[in-house]
Amino acid sequence: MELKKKNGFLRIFQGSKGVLMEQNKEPALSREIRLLSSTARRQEIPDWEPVTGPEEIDGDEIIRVARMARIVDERDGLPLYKKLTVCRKAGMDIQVDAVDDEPYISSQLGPLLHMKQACAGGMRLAQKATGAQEVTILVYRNIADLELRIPRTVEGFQVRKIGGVYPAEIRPDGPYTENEGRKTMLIGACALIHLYRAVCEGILQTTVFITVSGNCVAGPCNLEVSMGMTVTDVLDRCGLSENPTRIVVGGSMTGESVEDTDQTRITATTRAVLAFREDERDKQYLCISCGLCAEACPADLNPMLIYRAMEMGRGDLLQNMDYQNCIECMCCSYRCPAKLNLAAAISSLKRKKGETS
Amino acid sequence: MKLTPRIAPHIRSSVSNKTVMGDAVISLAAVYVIAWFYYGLRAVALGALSAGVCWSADILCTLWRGRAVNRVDFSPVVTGMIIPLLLPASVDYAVVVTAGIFAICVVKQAFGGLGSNVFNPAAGGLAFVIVCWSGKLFAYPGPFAPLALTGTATERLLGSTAATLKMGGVPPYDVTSMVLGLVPGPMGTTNILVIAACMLYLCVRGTVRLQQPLIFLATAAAWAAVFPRVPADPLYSVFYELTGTPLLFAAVFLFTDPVTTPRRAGAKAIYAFVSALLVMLFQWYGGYEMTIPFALLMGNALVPALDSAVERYITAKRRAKYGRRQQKSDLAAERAEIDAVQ
Repeated sequence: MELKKKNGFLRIFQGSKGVLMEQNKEPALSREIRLLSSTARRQEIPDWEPVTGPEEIDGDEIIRVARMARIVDERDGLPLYKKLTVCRKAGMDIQVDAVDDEPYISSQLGPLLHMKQACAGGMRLAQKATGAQEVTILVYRNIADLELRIPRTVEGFQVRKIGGVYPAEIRPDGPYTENEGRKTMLIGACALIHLYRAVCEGILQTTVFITVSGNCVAGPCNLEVSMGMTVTDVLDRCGLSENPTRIVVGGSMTGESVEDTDQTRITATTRAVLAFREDERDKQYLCISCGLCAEACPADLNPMLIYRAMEMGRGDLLQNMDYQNCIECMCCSYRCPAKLNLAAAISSLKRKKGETS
Repeated sequence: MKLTPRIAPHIRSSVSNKTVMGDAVISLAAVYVIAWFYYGLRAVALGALSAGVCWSADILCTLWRGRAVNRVDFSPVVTGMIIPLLLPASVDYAVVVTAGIFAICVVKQAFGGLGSNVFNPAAGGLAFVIVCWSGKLFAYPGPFAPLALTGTATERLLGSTAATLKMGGVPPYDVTSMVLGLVPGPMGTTNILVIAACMLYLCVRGTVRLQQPLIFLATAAAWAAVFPRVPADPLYSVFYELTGTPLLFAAVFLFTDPVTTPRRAGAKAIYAFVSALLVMLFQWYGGYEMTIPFALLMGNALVPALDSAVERYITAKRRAKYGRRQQKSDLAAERAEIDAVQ
């Protein structure tokens, strides 16, 4: 859904919803994408003769190849052929997800900018497979530190800048599933690159695009990595400038912290491996009731009130606080000057209540 | 590599309680530099004593309540630094000590300490000493008066510009003197330029939202223009009210206290408007020339009601917009539809 631009005066009263944060996508984004493969040769799709373009293949065949190539959309982990089938049946438009709204990550935007032809080829194939009238590329609006310029079009496909504050990709009113009244399907940019490779080069999806970055990674970059490799392999490739205190698989806001890098493997939905060293002295303080969490919450919740009600064991109060609407974007915890884990507490409450109901 | 698991988010804003209070301490220190320039070492000694008393009282009360002491919590220091700035530089040390102890022990810690106090501690402490020592607190030394560091100040004391305005007179000072604070008055509230610079610093740092002091000052200015106390042009009335009374200091350092102001942006805006009306009503009809602490305490008392009303409004709006669990069910339905494809 298109984000409504709030009137400036009203914004004073409503506060900012979401967080404007430094993106730290460079230098990873401007560097060429390197391959880190566990095998010397790429696996080919059995019984498939590659074609040169969408004009030589029909829609059903494209979906069949997507299935044979085992392409998984990196944004949600769903098989691409299923998404294309639903998209075709419902007559949806396609929006290509290259948003990367979490700081440090550029694993969709990077491949889009460095592999324009393959990505555009994938978009043309997806358009033919689904019969979509329009294919638009979504990128994040506020990236100030870029060395690369984001073009207005990629091989004829329009690039639309969305959001402006984090979260841009997931909003409380749902993802960007409507475009001027028409339903749209969001498909990851990397999945479309894999679709192009499958159809035009006959290659199975065995790799994923990931960003390796963080404040203690020596050479931040975007890598194309074989699925199944360990986080240790990936970090060895980019090097560490100092020992990290936290290694994350996924986004800097929503990713999961890794306990053992030798046991954690890269999967089809891994978007990044981030390594951070942080000041251990930055401990938790007392809540000063400043309201920054409520100001940041894109779902208009008041995380401070929910947190306090949980601390006091006031289930009766929680009923009216709509904690179920939390989209787990982590904005409240990010902004909290007391460094409280508000979002984690609300997420665990959601799960607990979900299990008991 | 083996690591301790951590909770998301994995990055945090650089703003913390320490930086919020630290910014307030830095900007108040700038006000103290001017106070030292105008009133000598006594001004700095008053500030240091007050901050020390508040800090010690806060630690002792925290220990007495059986809670862990946070050594990097600067909030009692901020309270301690604010109190003397609203008093004459010639004030007795005992007054400042009393105000600090009352502020921390009664107004802050008795309500549960940092984050739980309903009333602004500095305002509470000041209101207490104004009631107890009102006869001594409204006579001010002029700038550059040679104040003794210790003992009771014996210099000639004058009425403040706020007192002149209270009596319906026009302060006998030119514009430059009013802006630079070269007039008798509370030792930290007269230099408008420095306080305005502090406001800019706090706004740029994100510690204070500009709209709050702006709405407060605009409301006060509108009141002063419509109901002038001085027999002069409304513009002069606005100028004298904003520069001759501690309005600007209160707008920057008192009414923006994150603990005792409302949580939601809308409630903050209403609070700034209502507080300014309260301040002006107290200035017009109050018994003392320094009524800002009383107005602030009354404003603080309204905060829970304001918060509750705005929260109810936002909840109703949110439910009308998103419904309960709507997003989750929409996404789940979409995912189920895709998953069902064979």
